Amino acid sequence: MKFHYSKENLKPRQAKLQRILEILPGACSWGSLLGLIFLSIFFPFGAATLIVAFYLSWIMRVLYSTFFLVLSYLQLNIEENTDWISRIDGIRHLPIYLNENRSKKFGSDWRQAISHKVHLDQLDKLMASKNLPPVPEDIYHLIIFPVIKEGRDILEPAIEAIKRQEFRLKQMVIIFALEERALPPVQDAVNQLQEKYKNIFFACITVVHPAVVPGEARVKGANASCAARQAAVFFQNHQIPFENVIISCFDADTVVSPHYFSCLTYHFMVCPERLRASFQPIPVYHNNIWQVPGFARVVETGSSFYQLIEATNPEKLVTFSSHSMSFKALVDVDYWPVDMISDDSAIFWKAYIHYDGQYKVIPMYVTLSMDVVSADNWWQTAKSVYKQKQRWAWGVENFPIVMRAFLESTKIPLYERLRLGFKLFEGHLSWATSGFILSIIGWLPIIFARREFASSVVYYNVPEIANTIFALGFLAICVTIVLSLFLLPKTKIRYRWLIKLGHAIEWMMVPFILVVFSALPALHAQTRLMLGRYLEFWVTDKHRAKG
Amino acid sequence: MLWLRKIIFYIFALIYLILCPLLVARMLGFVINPLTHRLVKTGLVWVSTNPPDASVYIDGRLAHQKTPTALRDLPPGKHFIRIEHSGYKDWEQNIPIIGKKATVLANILLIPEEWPITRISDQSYQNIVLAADDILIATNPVLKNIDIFHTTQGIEENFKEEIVYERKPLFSKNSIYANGNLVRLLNAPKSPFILLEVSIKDKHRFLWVNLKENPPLIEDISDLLPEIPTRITWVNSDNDNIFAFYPANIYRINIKDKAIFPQSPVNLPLSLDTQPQNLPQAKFLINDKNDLLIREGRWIKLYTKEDYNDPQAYNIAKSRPSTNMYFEEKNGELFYLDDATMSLFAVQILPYHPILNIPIPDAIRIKLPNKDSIL
Repeated sequence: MKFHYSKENLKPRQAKLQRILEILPGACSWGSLLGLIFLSIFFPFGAATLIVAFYLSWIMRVLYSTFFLVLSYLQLNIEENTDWISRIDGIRHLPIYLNENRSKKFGSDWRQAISHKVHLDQLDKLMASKNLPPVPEDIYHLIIFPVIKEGRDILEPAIEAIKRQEFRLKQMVIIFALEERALPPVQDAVNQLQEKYKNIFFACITVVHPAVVPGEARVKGANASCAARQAAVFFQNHQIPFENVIISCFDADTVVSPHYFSCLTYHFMVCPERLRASFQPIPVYHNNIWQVPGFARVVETGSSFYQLIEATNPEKLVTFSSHSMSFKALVDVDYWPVDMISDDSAIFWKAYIHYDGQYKVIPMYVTLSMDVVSADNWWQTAKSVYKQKQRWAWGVENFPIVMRAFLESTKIPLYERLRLGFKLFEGHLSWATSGFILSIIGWLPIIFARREFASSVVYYNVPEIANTIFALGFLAICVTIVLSLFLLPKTKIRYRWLIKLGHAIEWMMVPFILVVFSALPALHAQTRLMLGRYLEFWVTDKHRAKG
Repeated sequence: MLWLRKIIFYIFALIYLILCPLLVARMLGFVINPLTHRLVKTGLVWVSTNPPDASVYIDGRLAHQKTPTALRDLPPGKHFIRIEHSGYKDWEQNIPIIGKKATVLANILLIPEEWPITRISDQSYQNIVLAADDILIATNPVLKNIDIFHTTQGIEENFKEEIVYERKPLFSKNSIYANGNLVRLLNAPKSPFILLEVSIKDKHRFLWVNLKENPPLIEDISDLLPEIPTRITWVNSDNDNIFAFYPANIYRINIKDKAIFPQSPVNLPLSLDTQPQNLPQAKFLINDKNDLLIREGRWIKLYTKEDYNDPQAYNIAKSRPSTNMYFEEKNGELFYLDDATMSLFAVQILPYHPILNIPIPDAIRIKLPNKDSIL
């Protein structure tokens, strides 16, 4: 479907619809919160009923998510030592490889057995599809690093991590997408890095994105798109078909695990619809995890866990942060949106609409590590974390555009449109409201209790029900704490157990974090969209201690 | 994973659809009668006691939790509640329960088997006066025999720590006032100042005493009061100014500046007009105003809210009607002069100081009958 994936340059009728849909999420969030406050004061019985129903749905959701968080973590753990390279090589002669693998036994090693079973299923699917992949030697990786203010201290570890890959470095093209308005020291650092690594990879190029381009906003997507266009010319010149190229657009601080590109190549090869797919790794924030305040650690670990949970549901998975996709698909959809901040999720929706729903995200159980937001002091870090979460929540800008596309589309099945539309809307609504209802509004019927309500059993039963539900919620937090300790980087640090204990205790800040660094920035973002005060791109502060 | 996710999702959704109406019904006070399998309306009783941690029996069955607690799922009708706490008398009552309603038995004061009475001083006194909440003045006709008692500060949540009474004479033996006689002691509610009208070698003197200082700071202000006023008063918010009442005039006397100002009655602070006269203090509403401490004849009695129509009275100790008795809220203690020896005694009435009180609906709260009617 041909669709103009932007809020700009719309026909009057479309612009009006766009504006209405922009207002909808914020209006619903505010309506829910204010409505509950109103009910709490004037109709406490109604409010108490809604709040108890909400509490129950919340705990069910928490338990459900915790269950899949554990499963997803196990799968990540299972795939930790998988030999992706040998699997890639095996797929080259698929029928023989498949027959060999069917007879493999793993005895008591249940982890290998599960991994192998998943592998076999993927091979069977690939075989059945008859859509065999190119040979590994023909597959190229394009890696784009948008750069505006990141120095060598941030960029070099990212390149070094790529240098440590199991996959062939001579099949990798690195592009520094440098903003023209970047300061001279940043430009110098990029030039030095390009010089240093140009002979290690197939190519290492710098593409400068002009400061002012008509029709573009000052967003990361515009810079990355400019680089990707140059890359397209590069691949054409080298007669490398786009179908054989996988593009990874990474934040400058992205440090990938040594298996990342072999794992990515494997998933690309076994996916029959590889040209209509994005590949989503699990982002972790370990680069500077011990150098940031405790609340920032908890916030970012929570984000990793959210992705782990989402990874178990590929039907509803949307791309997030650093990820990879088919370069052919990127070219087909005319690259990233150049006027949107949330380019990571927008590219999925753009591709999904372009291919009439025939596009999906493949979860990969491999990690890539990024920086936790960090500034000079506690307060500045808190402000930066808040701004980053607001930027993530600005993903709500996709809602009106996706809804317009769904209203126009005749080829995407109605059920799929309803399912994904509801998920998108409900996700943003609960993001902006759950924290407030759980922490504050849920108690208002008790606080504002008048004589009639205070003399009812409801007045005494609501806190009892809430306490029971929160106790169950605490159990889920305990599971989360254990997993977060397992997920921490295994680097050597002084007073390891003491620090880990401290990190476990930090999770007690969850109720506070839920409001201040989750619900509040989300509501802020939705309110801005509702009022038409569009967010501008803001580059996250990321500091690392030297050495 | 996807199929597992779907199965688990539908299981959770089903559980939610079943649990949600049940939970809402329970919140509203509906439970399923195990015999008839039908939904029935229930009520609850909220019970809190002073002291807490008492066992509660409802219709003979012991409740799982000790006080404070809510007894839930009670069918409408009368229920017999018994409260037990070691060292205290049992509390029993038939309580009416209404469907979907909460009955609140808040801060039930448990009566000890034996009142914990402490003798604070062996000396005999004339009367006691409370100043600044934690300073008790035991008066005597001879100034050197007047004592002041500092009580320890109230402990935040309960009074389990031992209460210490620090006794000091108001005047040292070497004081020029030591052998004088007390004519009158005047005080203002919560003020750390007292005014003593004394007679020293047949001369009338007025002594302004600051009890905040240690030892107390005594200032002779007789020059500011050339004639003896009929009444002297002040308020704690302004301890620099006192008001002296004469048959024809009222004077404001600024003690700090040693200045006297004629004062029109119209300009008199309103609170001074309503200030109680120096009648013996012998009536206190205590325990969140649920119970009454009062002297009837020579008996100090406690009236509790055990029954709607017939409040139960307990004798605590004997004290002369001409003397004050004081209930100090911080420590939950009653101070009085013993009827026979005129020595100072303390008895702990409230063993626990509740901090977080739930808002109790007036319509439900079990009340004493009008307190004045039992005087």
